[in-house]
Amino acid sequence: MSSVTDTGRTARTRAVAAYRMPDLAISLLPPILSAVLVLAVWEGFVRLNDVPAYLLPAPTLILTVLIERFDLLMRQLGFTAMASALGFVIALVSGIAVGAAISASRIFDRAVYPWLVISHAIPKVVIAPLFLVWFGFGMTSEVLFVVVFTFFPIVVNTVAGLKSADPEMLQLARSMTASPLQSLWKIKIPGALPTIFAGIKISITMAPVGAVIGEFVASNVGLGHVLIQAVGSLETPLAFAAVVVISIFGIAIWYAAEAIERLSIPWHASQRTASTH
Amino acid sequence: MAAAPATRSAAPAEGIVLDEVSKRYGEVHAFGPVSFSIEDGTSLSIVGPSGCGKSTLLRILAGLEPATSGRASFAGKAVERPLGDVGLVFQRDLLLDWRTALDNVLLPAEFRGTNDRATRERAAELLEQLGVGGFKDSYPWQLSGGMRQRVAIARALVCRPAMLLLDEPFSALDALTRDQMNVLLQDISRQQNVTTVLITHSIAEAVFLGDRVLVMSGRPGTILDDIDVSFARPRKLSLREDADFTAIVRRIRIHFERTGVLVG
Repeated sequence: MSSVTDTGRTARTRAVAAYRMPDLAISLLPPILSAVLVLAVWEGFVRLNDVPAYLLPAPTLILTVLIERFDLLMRQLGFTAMASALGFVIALVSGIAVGAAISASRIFDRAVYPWLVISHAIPKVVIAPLFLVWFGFGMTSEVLFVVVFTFFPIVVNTVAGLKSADPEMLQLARSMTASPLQSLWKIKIPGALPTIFAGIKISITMAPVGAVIGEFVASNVGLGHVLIQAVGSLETPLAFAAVVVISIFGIAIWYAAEAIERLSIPWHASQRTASTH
Repeated sequence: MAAAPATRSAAPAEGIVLDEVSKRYGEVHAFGPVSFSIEDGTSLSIVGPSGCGKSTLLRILAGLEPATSGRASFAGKAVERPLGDVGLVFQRDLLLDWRTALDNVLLPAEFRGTNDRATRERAAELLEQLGVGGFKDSYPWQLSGGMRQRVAIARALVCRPAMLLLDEPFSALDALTRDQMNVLLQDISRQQNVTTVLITHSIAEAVFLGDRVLVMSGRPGTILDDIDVSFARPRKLSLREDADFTAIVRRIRIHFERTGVLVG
């Protein structure tokens, strides 16, 4: 019996593989074309009108600066990436812990959730300078700022995921004499992972944004600092180059999060490439 | 007929004994009081209309819910919380998406810390007996509804429960699959020698699978009839066309017609 399904699955996988190449080309072509078009119009506009570089540098100039200052940009990216990673990991661990506590205790939920919503509603960019006052100049402020930026989506999604566990399944577990901790570990948490990953993907792209804003205010290293300095000294091409690097970094970590998601929850409906029925 | 439950409750303290058990949710009187006992190793079917409290009755037996009054006991012990010696099967298979069929079957063993090699072998064997041995490494979403329910039955049996409690286990399946599952359930509960309580809406299913059928009235549910079904086992599906079989089915149907559940 198993051989029948195995063959079925292999055939299906092969069919998917056969479709993949043209599909990929078709799906990549429009964005590449539109990007080339936008860059060409930009380049043409700058050259035809002799726009000064400090106002709007041409794409080719940004690329030149990117290559010339590559070492500087990468070194500074290192600081930004470090702050992003540290802040994100702290937000991830504490976010899941707080989320688990909220979903486990109604009293904790009532007491803490409103504060979370209030803290999320406060425009975080506005309170960035306060972090400088509270935690001083340097890495601590920056990392904590990343935490503030990325904490909320993780908590909210953890709570939503854990609360969505099937009550009948939990009852079944209870009939199997599962302890509350066993139910949490073997049923609620795995079931919540897809939702938690949705939160992680929102948070992780916000981590470098938080780090850069932190660097604007409270740091003399990092791409945020490079950006502020470059703008201050009218080195606009360098500022653009920094923005390009930050953006590419953001895209890269988003895809990294997607890859980890795919590896962690291959069973989830969103990841089932071979099954369409 | 009213006297029958009373005499049953005087049965020995072995097996499952319900003594004047009833359940209320606030103002709503769900069922009871009902009294009956189930002999070890036999199959009891409970058939009744929706809302007669039969699912609640099952949850009381499983220790998931307390009775409002009366006492449910198993092997002489009062059932007040899950004792770990029942296997439950619901209408929904409740398989965990992230576990293979085999790992789903092993879930109760993991909760108990008895997930050893012998248990894993037993789990694979149960899947084999239920006709899904070739799918033990498949994930639930790769299985059909009938196959998933077989995995759920294997999971209920893996820790060698004394009682197998099934709440409308085949209601979501098509008629043909349902017939297959009836035969399969009969075979496996005989093989495993487990006391079986089946709750169903289907009169034919109740008679086919039960050594005894309890007929329950609408809310508040009480026992209308208590019928011994003494056909030899294993029973074949063709038994359902037998005159003796249809006579029992008719007897049950008349109860429902008389109480307005079914319009004859």
